[in-house]
Amino acid sequence: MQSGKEKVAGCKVEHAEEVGDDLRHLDQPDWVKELARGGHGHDDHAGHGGHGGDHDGGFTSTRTTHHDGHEIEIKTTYHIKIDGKPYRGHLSVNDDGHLHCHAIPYETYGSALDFVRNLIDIYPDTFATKTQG
Amino acid sequence: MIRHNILTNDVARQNFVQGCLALKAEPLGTTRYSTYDYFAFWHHRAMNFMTPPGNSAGRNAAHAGPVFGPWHRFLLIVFENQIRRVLNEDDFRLPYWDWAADAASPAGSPLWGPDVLGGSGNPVRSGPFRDGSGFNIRLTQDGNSDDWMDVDRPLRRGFNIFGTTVPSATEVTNSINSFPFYERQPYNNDVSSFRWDLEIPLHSTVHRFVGGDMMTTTSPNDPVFFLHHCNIDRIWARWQSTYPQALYLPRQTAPDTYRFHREDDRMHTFLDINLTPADILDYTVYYDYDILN
Repeated sequence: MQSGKEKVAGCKVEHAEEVGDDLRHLDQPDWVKELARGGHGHDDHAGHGGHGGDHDGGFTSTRTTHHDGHEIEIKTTYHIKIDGKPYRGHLSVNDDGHLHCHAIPYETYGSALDFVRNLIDIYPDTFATKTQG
Repeated sequence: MIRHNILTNDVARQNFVQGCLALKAEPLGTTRYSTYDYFAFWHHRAMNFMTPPGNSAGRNAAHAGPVFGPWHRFLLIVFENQIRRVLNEDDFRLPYWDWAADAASPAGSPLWGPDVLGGSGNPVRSGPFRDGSGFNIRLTQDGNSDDWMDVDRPLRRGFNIFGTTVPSATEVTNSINSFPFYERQPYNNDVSSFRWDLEIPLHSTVHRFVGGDMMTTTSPNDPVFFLHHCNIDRIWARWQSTYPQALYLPRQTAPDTYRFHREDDRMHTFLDINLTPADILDYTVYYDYDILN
């Protein structure tokens, strides 16, 4: 049986045999996609499966818990548009009520407005500056 | 082989800088990307794979769950191997940035000097990765879709814009002393644990302080990512030495909803390697640290 060290020593990023001409086809590793297809409860996040995303910038996050024998479900939906265009990124709401998103993974927000302001500031490649001078 | 403090070991510093530049200059197959860029791509893809889909706590194949420690240890070892190969330096091990030592004035750290990483700016205009050095960013997250997009631009940093501090040595010690257990159910960021404390108050604070490219899912685009995560790994190693009997959790008997995070689950990778958290818990097989405390 190979040790972890032997396994790592065999990693050949430099050969990049899977890469070919582009990285675009590497949506997720084949073995990960196979797990998703096998009904193991995983899916490529690209489709936002289970998060309730739609094409109009709407995103629904569902929180469930139990309290004193009662079943609780809370659905929170955000509809966000920036310059009239729907925001299509992933959003979720933590148990403490804070907004979490993939685009700004090292921060959570009590205010969706603060989130969008930071989003625009952090991604100038996506959101060109429109400040009037 | 020993991982050193980048600010006290000139050889490690020089090799790290030269290694990053060499990997950036090395084409990745026949793509427009480099071997270096592959790590930003991998980090982005793992971070965008929810485990399982629909979990409201944001747990994914690399973050917000137990595998945060092992998966980043895995990524660092692969990156370290790449620098060893490209420099033909078998003894090379990644250095770390002991940011807690700079907590009084993180922006004033010698790390940001012209002979180490260069400073803050959009674009970064000093140091070996400055605008015009050839160290261009080739892919980044699309802020509007969670997918990634092609770019060709210099590195960006923005100190003190999204965060003004880095954790102190006292905060690091308090974290280790407060949590004798690595994780606990439901294994996400809704409950505190050592993993949670390591990832959220300690790790994320440093990403926010550096800002710029360090704020995104493609944060390995900034070389400081590797120095920062090497320090995070060092803190985890210190915790492991403090609590040698503490188990990695969850065990393999946990439900499939924790796949990618259990001790014998294959960790997210595009490489032809089946590495599990259990394979990597004993880091001394791969490297050691000059100082843990």
